[in-house]
Amino acid sequence: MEASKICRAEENITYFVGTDLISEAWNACQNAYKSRDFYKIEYKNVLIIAFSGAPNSRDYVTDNDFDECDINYNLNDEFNCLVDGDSENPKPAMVRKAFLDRFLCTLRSSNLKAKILEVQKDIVEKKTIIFTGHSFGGAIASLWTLWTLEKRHKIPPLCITFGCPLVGDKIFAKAIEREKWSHYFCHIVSRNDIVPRICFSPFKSPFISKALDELLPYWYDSMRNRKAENQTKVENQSKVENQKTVQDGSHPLSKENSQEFIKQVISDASQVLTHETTALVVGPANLVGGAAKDLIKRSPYRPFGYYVFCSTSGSVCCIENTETALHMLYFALENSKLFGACIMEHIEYDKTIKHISKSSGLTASYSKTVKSDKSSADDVRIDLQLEAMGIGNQNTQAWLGLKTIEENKNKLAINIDQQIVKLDEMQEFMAELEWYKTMCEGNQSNQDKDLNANKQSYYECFKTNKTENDMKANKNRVKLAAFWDRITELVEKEELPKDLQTQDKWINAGTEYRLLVEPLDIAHYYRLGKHEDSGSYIARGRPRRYKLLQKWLDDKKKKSGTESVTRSKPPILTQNSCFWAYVEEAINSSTDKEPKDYKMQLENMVARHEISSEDLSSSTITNWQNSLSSKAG
Amino acid sequence: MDLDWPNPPKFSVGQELATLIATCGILPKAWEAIFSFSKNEDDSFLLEKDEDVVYVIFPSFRNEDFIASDSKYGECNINNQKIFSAGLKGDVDKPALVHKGALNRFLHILENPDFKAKMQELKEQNIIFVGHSIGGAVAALATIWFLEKRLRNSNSFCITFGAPLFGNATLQEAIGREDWLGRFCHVVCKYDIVPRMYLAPYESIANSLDAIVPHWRSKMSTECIDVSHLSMSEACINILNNVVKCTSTIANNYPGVRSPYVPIGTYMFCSTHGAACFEDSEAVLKLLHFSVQGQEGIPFDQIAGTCISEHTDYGHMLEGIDEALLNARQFANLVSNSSFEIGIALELEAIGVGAQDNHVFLALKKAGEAKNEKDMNIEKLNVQLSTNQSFLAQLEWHKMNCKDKNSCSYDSFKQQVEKKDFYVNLARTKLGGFWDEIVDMEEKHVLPSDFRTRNKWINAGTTYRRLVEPLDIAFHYRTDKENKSYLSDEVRPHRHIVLEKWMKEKEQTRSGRERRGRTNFASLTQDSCFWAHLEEARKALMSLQQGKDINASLEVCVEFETYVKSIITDKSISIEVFLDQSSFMIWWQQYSQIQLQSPQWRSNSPLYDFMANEGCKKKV
Repeated sequence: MEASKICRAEENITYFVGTDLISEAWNACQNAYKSRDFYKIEYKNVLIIAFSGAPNSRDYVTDNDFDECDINYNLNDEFNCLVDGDSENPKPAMVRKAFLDRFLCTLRSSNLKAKILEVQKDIVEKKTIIFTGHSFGGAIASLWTLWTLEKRHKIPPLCITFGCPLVGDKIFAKAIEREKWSHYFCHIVSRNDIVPRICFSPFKSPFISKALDELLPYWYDSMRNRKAENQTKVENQSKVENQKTVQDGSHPLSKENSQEFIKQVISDASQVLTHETTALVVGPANLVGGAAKDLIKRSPYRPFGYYVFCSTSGSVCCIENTETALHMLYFALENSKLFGACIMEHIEYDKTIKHISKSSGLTASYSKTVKSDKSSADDVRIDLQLEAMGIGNQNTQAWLGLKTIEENKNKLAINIDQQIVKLDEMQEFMAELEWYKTMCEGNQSNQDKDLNANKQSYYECFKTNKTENDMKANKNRVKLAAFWDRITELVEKEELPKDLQTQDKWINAGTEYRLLVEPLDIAHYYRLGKHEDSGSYIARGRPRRYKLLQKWLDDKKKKSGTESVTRSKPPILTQNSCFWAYVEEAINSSTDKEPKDYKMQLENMVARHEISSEDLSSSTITNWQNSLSSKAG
Repeated sequence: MDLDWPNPPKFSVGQELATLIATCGILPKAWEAIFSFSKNEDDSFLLEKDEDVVYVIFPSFRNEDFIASDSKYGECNINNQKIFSAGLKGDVDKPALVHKGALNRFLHILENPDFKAKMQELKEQNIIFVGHSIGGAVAALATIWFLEKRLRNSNSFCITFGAPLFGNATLQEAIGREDWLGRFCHVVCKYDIVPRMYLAPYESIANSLDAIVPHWRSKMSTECIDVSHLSMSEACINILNNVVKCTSTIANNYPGVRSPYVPIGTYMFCSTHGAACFEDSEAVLKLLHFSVQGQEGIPFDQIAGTCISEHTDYGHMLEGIDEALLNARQFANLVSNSSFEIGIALELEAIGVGAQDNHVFLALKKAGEAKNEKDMNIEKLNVQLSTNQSFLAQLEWHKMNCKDKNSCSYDSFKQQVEKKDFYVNLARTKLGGFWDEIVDMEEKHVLPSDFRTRNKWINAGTTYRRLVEPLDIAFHYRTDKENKSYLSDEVRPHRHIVLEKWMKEKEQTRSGRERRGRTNFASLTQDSCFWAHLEEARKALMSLQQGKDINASLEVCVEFETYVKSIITDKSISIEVFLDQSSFMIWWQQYSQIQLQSPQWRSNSPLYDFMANEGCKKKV
């Protein structure tokens, strides 16, 4: 566990600094302000694509409070894995519509798409693409990165943003974490910059819209002009910087307005933060926050990817956990309340980048200033992070907030360790059931070699249940069900790591279990006559565990994108674990029309070699087909 | 999580909750609405729409609301009120009590046809009931009334300002059982006298109230009432004195007569330093006492004055609360290493009760630990439930095997013909032990308060009862020497009685939905006591055959016939009962032989037709 606590975000930033990529990206961002949509430059073996952060009237004219919309709105499911929930009830990730529209605009109108696909296909050159952007441009860069990542080429793109606002909601952030894409996103945030927090507030609210009306053009103009300065006076950079510090507070917003503006953002951010913290500790149920959740509107947006915070004093703090990032976004702002700096720092990333280059991005270098009288490594790390952020570990609330996150992470780690041990124990029961299957099918074929019609699959054996072996198989079935039910429950309560369902180990174990054991569950269901009580197995009786496990596999297939190779031989296990439920329904159905449909389905499955030969030659099927053909005949 | 290891609570989030509620903008809106509404003489209610939330506002108070002198604390029984369901009212020896003044006011509003009509319109919306002072108690009652309608698409919530305590422990338990406690949020100024005043007997505060209420009214409305300053301050000191006397008895757990009222819902205490939320009822009672204990240096009469003035001063308090909450609390020296205890200390600091005040601190700590223990217990039970499924599966299996052999699992187990029945008995005992433990834990209140209304457990319990109780009955009649009926309360295991009660309670709350009539016979007989009824009928038949107690025995048999007919009609009986070998069929054959002699029976018998024709066909 301790080993995993080495911060990958730090390695990332060290790499970026070491290769000058950050300053190159920043230069590209500034150039992008002059071009219409984006600016493209090749640097060594890297293609840098920078998006302009120019404001757009659409940016803060919103339909609903937070301007959120389905990420696949207006798209053909381009963002496949950014959907949560099950197939009947999908929960798509939500993103800010303004950003998505701008992304769509560049996707459709420009030749960028073709260019990217071309670069990605070029395996010889092995070029890396870096998307970058300042301010709102960062949001577009993030979406482009995501779109490219979805294509899953060999060389994944990277994304560096400067003062980028929040783009997507919790499902969005969770999906990125689940797909292990977090480290492709590096958000550089100047400690007091207001823009990364701006999406916590509804743009409609008067303080916000008034402030944005003035600030957006101001930021845009100064970025454009800055560019000119930069080109001519690269050598005099320090001088320019001095000038800027003098400039502090010269933004167009009056003092009162900027105070109201920042306070509003702080208050809205605290809504999000306290909601997340309480949900983490008490769970969503049985508390005031839970009951009132629909009554209170709060921003859906959450941080995603890695964050690099940089304070004016030059300290740098790298954060890879999105929940921690949320805390930092709030507490850094709340702690300082430098209203001028909040607005000015948005256009002063020159300085920030210099600090990052100097510090080489290591939080740990501040260890001297922290008194480590705390016992655990977690506590020391929290102290370090708070120190680096300039919040200080005396801020008990911030400290407790971060501690909550650590504890929760530890809990997940312990949970998964325990379940892995149990999964191994379960293999024994699986083995017994496999043996049971072989026994059933083997016995039958030996005894009734001549009577082909009387062959029995293990499904039928189990359903008729005559022997002690069947009893044993039933016990194993129940034990396995208990284990997988527990896993399902933990996954639904989010008490297992998010990437569990993308790990091959778990997908394979789950699929194996589902294919072998679900027929037994179906047999049990129909044997007890439960279909008469509550309806067909597929509609009413299928346990949640199977639905979840099937979804894991489907998701994986969807991602791999390539068409699965068609089988040429029947498999050992029927690939459609609900096969027997279809058969039962077909046999039970009394209307004339339906059997034909079922027959079609069955024939399709046979044609695709999805059904094991044992199942196919079993007596139930043969009898049924005979009866069908006799009817037809 | 390792379930066997004691796992102390890790965090306490009272302050975060307070921040969540205080900064979301609902409170100022609600207070504004109350304040402007209270100026009018209108004493009914007001609806105000704000985006997609509807505020239902109840006015602060009228003089007469406080007056309820016919009982010691102004409480009254709700047993006769049709507007509340039976589940809320509690048992005869522990009836639910509410404050009479608030109840009367609410009843008065309910009589207003306009109110009911408007609530009907609102049933698919987000509703916040708000009220100040007695109006807060009215709002709480209205919320309970509305929640009991169990409308699926609505979301209701209750916010009160300076509301008095309005209900007793029975009411609190009933609300907790439905998991509604989180829907009540009572905002309380630290010194406000009203939330604690009904902890004192009504008589001891009545005189002072007479002087103070006009003062409050003048503050809340435009009308000017002259209140002599002198009598006011005397009244203030008087009322505070009397109230503190009572709260200190309660807070220190001294013996004595206690007020029936307990806090129901979440309390948000506010001070100039910040705010914090508390959910535990006992801890809130303690806080109600300790939060008026002033800091040193503040004279008592000044506190008394504050106690009165804060009651009408919520607007002012709300203005400062955002700021106070958002300012980071910084603790110079942390009181302990545990983040849970630090959390509690922060909460107490926020409401200006010194963390050194051990009583409150310990009460909160205990509450947090108890809650944590409840959560751990239910986790443990979850795991145990899944292991116990294997016994249940074994019994299901057994049942099917018996059916294949043309007999009921009940009879097979009773006769104990096979060795297998030994294992069945083992599974039966194990499951019995498991459910005994659950019932025991629930009765000891170490499970979450809404445990017995959770679908998962109701369903698991019902399946268990239907499958296993017949075996328990068989066991009883096989071993019973004293000829006792299983159906008497001392014989039937407590777990089955309780589980059945839970299921029935739950079904009552589901009554809003139309229940589908069955089209097929159930796979398990729905009345788990069917076999006990049969055994009693068999006893009666025996004595009938022997010619003893003919009339009484005949009556039992006829009654049983009617009973069976009724469960056949609603198809809640399992067909396995009609298998050839079942003791029901044997009983029927013998019984009908006796009865066939009387032609009158033939035409009147509820069962005869069914058994003669249809019943036989239905057999598998």
